[in-house]
Amino acid sequence: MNLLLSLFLTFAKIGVVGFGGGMAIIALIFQSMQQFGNMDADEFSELFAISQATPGPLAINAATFSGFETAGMAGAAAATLGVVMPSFILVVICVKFLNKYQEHKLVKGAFCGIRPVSVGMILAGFIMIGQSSLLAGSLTELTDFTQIVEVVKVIPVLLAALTFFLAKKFNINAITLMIIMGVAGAFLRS
Amino acid sequence: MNKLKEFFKKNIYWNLFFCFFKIGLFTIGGGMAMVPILEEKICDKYKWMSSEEVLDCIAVSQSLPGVIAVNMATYVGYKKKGLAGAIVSTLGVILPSFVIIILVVSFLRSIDHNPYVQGILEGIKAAATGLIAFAAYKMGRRTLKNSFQWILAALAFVLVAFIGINAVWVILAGILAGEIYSVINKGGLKE
Repeated sequence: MNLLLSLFLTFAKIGVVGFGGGMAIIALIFQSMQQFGNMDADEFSELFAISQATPGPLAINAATFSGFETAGMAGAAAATLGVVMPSFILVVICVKFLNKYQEHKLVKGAFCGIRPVSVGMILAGFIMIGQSSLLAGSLTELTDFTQIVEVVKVIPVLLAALTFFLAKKFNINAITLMIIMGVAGAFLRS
Repeated sequence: MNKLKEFFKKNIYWNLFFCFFKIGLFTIGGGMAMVPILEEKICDKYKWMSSEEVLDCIAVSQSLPGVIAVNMATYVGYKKKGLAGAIVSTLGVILPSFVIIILVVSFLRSIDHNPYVQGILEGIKAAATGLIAFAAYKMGRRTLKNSFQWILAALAFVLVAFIGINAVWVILAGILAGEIYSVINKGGLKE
């Protein structure tokens, strides 16, 4: 029981300080898992690989993995609930506040600036994810143009372009497109 | 049987849970990867929120600590159906990861070395990348209506993508710009 409680609290702490999700949280998890004394660098890189190779948010995967390794199914549940609890409470408070004051001048003004910023950040998300999914290196390291084939992953670029085209032209839904491109990726690999 | 079908189609809690379960299952390659599905399901299919409200949700989820995908689930669930809605949506979005990780750890530890699995993931990540670009395009066309909004969106993009400034600061700067703009235009948005 004590172990479960300390898993829950450890991951709740990670949930409080983990801004921006993903990688930042993984590093925090490694630091705090050492206090349970059962995660070495090898296991950490395995955790990282498994989290990357499975669907779902990275931080949730990592919490479930560490909790399961430490205390089985109950440990996985404790760690996963722990990592989402703080943000759950914060989001609920935030939405409550916004619902109450949504007609207020200041809130309206804030959202008038937030919305365009949000659009810009989605496009920034494209660049960030594209750096790992479409490129094998950095474009800025290129010294001459012929090297571009070494840096750009040709098949994923074509699949991404095809996805954009199919979504725009035929309005195919996102999940169907991901499944199609996943199958295409498996065939093109073999 | 029909009653059962009707229940699953109409029940808002079930719809919230299942919608976020699917989103959790297909969030591959980072929190932003869920934006295309979120926008498609929540604005177009269920019509739970407008595009503008989804943008608010993305910004709030980015500014708070924690996992972006989970924050978005809690946000939409609470907005739709209060605390119970927030709980079912949040459980929905974390359940796929939870089950998959336990299965992987228990049965096939070396999943990442299989070339087919790698090929599938590469394809899905490529699709997610294309879909995010499409989501930005679609949301931009729906919500950016004047030059103030276009400039703000472009600035946010450059600052986050190329200069590497933390999203929270960019959102705070956006709030400030929005307040100043509203004061100058007496609260009214100029089309």
